[in-house]
Amino acid sequence: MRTHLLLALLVPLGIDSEGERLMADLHRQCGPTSWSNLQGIEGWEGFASALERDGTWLRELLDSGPVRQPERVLMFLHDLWQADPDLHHRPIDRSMATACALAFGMNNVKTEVMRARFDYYRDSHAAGLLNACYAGLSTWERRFLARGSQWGFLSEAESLTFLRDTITWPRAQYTRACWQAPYRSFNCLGDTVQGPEYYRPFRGSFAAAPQMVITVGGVCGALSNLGASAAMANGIPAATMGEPGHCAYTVKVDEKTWQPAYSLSWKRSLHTSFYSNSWPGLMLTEACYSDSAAMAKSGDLARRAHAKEAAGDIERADWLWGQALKAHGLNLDLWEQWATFGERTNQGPQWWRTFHDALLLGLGEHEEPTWSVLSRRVYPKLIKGLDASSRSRLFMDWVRRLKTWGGGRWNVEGAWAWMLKEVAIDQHAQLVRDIGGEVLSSSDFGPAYVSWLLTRYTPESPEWDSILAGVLKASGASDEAHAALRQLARKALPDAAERGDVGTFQTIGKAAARLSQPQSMEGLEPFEGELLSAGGLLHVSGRGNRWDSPEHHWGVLGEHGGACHTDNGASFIAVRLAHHARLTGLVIQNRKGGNMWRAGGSRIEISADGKEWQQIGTLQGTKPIYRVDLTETDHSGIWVRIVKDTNCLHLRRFLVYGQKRS
Amino acid sequence: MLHALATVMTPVCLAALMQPGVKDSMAFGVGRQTAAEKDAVLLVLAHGSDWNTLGERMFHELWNDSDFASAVGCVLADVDVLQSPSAESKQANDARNKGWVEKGSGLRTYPAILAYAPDGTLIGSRQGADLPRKVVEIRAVTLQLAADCRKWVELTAATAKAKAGADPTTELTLLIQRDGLPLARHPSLLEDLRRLDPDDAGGHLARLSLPHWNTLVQQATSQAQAGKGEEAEQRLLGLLANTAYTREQRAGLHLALGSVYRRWADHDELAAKHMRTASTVAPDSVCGIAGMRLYLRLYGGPSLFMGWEDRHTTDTAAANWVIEDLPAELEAGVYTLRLKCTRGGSLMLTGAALCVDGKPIVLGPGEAELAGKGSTLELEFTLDKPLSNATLQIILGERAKSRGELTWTRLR
Repeated sequence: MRTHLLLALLVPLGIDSEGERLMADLHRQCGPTSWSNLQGIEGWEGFASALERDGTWLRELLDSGPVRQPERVLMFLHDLWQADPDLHHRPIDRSMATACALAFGMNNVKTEVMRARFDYYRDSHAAGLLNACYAGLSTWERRFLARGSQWGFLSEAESLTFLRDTITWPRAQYTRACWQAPYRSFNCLGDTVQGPEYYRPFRGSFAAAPQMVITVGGVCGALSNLGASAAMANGIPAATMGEPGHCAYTVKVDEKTWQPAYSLSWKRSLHTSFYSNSWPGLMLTEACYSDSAAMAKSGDLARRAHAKEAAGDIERADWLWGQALKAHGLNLDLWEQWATFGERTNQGPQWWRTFHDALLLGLGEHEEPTWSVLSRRVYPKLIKGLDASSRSRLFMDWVRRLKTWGGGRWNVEGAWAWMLKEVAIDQHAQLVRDIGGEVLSSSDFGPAYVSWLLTRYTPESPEWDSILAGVLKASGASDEAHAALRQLARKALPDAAERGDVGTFQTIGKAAARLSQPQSMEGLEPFEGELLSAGGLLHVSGRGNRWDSPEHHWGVLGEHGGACHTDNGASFIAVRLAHHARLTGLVIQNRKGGNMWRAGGSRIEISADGKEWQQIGTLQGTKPIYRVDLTETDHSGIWVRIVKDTNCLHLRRFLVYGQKRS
Repeated sequence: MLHALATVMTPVCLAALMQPGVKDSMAFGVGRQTAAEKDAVLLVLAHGSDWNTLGERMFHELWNDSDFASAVGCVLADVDVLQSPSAESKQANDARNKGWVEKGSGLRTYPAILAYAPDGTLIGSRQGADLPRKVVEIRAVTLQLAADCRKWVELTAATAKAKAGADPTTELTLLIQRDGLPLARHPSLLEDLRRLDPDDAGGHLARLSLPHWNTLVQQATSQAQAGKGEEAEQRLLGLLANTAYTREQRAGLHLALGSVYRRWADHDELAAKHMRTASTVAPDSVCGIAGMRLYLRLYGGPSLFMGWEDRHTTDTAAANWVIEDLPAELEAGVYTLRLKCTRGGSLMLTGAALCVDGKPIVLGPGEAELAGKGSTLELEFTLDKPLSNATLQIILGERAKSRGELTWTRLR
């Protein structure tokens, strides 16, 4: 109630112009105390007047992502404007200034640091030194530049200048920029990268900090921050991101596409984000903000909703929220605000059911953000008072929508586990079967489901038969345990391989290994380094051909031994490692029999991204075992494959040795 | 009628002749062939017409400017690397760039000017930090590059002549002169030096073949860590005995030796000595600075760089602190040394002085106490005249184990 009155006091009467309406919302977001503080700043009136008269500028401020700490944002923007009152007449500089102000509000970076960053982009653009794409960026994209990389010193003006002048490449090539620095766990003096002594002897001795990193080296943190900073220094949006035990980064390689770089896993946590720091969160951000017309429309409707609520018209406000989310169902911020409205106005279950249905319709394709809102805001309201069966039915409404990874692989297993916690234990088996019945046939969710099953229930556990029987019955397959596992693995392993999901491939593959006896390693001499293929995945061309046995693919990668067979025609057998590596050697064990000759003449190729391949050799002759010595070379990558243009390929083992570079 | 036609056409023809050529820059393949035929240096501009503004300005204002083409005196060609081509433009562009292979071209960044000899050898480049960001300055740099390249070609021809004439002394002199140009090292230089001066009497081979300091130090460290300290020591001492190396290279050798001794039990004194020597030999070089910092961290007394540590306050530690890393030149004025204890107990100071060659020149305050963690103490020093290479000596009285920071500031 108090909030309603406060909102009512904040909203001036008789607002007519677009500028006034937008400024009123800015006022609302600041709150009366902050607004009053701002009005006391010298020159505020001139700035506020310029802002109010410029609807484009106001929308850049209000519709380019979250406005956190609005007083801080506006003070910073005011200071920039005051130093350059013509700023708002230059669209690119205005947009970058606004982006810097918004980024300034997201963290506690010092004023002079952000100021220097803005000056860098303004001056570099004026001098024509940035990538041409910079001029066309939207404000929300510029926020990534303004935020900079995780390692702040690589985003200082001196570092940016160095990177701009020395690593200037076509946009898409920045996914390789990390390799400008060598991967070294110890510096030349033998001090570990995990301690403060790694760079200490060398700080300040180079033209700029990036040159120090390029000369002295680093590990994943240094390489990823260097790669991301190099892109950003040239005006290309990028961000560093954490992965389990690793630091990676992403670059926006064209107008629509964010490309992960130096990445090992789908489990990513971005260091620059608006609402959700996951990869699917970034995909939603891209989809949401790239539609500026829908953003403006939904934003305007939301602003009217706030105004109506402040005026006491709750019903109208609610209707306007619904309209706002119909106008742009991808606007996650507004879903959260509408949920907050529902909580604030004490809405009942029926209201939350309507919200739930609208959410699934509007945001459903982006399952992870949808799940986040459902699990935090909606289900807790809806499942109170529902029995287990009703809860399961409610959850299945969402599960039924799971077809493909809308925004990329995410922790759907966590969602299923959450659901199980919300139903009685005696309902677990049924819910697991129901989920399996819906998702098993999905190439995306099927492998994740199988992997989840295998972590919850081993084939020896009492629930295995009943759950699996139910699942497989629903999918029309056999219900004998080993046969069931074989059946699952035959589908799930190639699915996981096609999606580069190493973790799921390993989980399912290890379980499926019990379907065969280990093969002797006799005659297979290792190379120096680690057997890196053992932790990776195998991708075999010609999926579904009658000679292949995918349930044995996992064994091909390591000491267990296995089997794989491509289809006839142009073929490949590829290993995707769990880590980027410097390769020391390959041991390829042929299949026995009269067709061993098929492997001879195959090209050996490596890749850092699974897209661009480099030939590094050829399998010579007909041999039971091929040893390819790479110790004297400097070949590195995360993919290794053998390729043929005719006939087919079949192997028992494809062992890759090397030293990790991530 | 013919007369009338000539009257009209002549000014038209003259005007056409005086117009600057629209496309002075050739495609790479054509340029390479032309340069070979004309026995001329080829300058290739690598640029990106749909993304790299500076490169485009260079392309239009220099590479397609006849005045520049005349002044530079080389064959000009370009390679346009597109960022977002359509299918058609990619096809056309790939056709134009035919013959261009980025790997091995010398290209590291854009825009780049790559210079090739008539036989296709990469002579040098201007890119990245070597290339200014303003076209007027780039013009000057490119003209100089062209001049250097012509000199390179001249020296290469003279070298070949000396070789043919079995004149190794002249050949060697010319090779070194050519290597002194601000261009890329010739791929056969080291091989030629071995042939011409097998004993390396001139020291050129040693100087030019010494690995980069990072490689040198890393190899030495690895050897010592593998228990081969003596082997590494002998090798590095052997290299140091050669006077051919530059100061910076010698600093690297000393740093490498210091790193070897650091990883070799009971060799701390030698480690300290060589790390300090790296700094003495080339104080502003990467290795010189690293050597000093490593010395201060591991072996030296308290310092502005590291502050003081527990080992400086134990009972067996020296009673006098000598701070060695003050600025080399101190002007007359008033300075303070601020001590801030970050951990541990108290320190009693019984005296302090700025010294030169170990002799006190400017006395600081007498007794002073720094209480434990979180406390600070400032010692003031007044210099009536400048001092060079001063150290700061502090005499300790009672002390508990502690750590802290040291800051040297000029007040006025």
